[in-house]
Amino acid sequence: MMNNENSTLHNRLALFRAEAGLSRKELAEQVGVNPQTIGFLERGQYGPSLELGLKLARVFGVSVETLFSLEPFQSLAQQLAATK
Amino acid sequence: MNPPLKLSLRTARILSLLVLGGIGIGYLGGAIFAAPDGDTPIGFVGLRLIGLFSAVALFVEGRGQLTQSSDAMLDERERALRDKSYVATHQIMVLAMFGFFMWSILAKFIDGWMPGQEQALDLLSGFAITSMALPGIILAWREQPQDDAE
Repeated sequence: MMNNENSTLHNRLALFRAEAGLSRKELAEQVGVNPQTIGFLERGQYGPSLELGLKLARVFGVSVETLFSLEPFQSLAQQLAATK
Repeated sequence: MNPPLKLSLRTARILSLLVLGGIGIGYLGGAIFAAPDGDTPIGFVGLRLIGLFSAVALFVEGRGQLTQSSDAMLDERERALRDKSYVATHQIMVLAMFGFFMWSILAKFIDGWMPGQEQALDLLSGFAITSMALPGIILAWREQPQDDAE
């Protein structure tokens, strides 16, 4: 995890948050940050600390690698095409 | 964090320009173009006041308050932002002091301008006000416009 603003970390935070039906504010409260920070994370403008990354993964019940990656995630269309 | 004053990014940036312009020109220009009896021309006094009020507004505004907040009041991103603004402020102010130090050496050889006691105190005041406002100014210019409607 990179604790900086020039993050090269890719994430699927927005996808998981939408699926969980959580607002940024609700997610922020669960992990103890400012709602704006969730926005920065989702846009890839901030790389979280290891602690925050683990907290976010715990909220969605997934491993941290499912949420964050150094490589870009495949788009949903690519994933669907790969399963055919 | 609940700041007493919350300004838009645009307003904060305009204020930051007023601080840098008002303080920079007001204090440096006022020191250089001081009357022989030591009085500062009224135009420069006006610029200083504009710079001072803008600096106070930026200081009490949200971004200025973020730079004054304790660790417990901020999350990790805000702490990183605050710390970076102080590092940048330190670098800028050290560079300014070093520049002035170099000028003080050079001025002896080329018979350049040097402030008198009163002007030196004025410049010190400008330096202090700039130091106070600079972390908030840096945050205002680093901040990116965002859509946090949700």
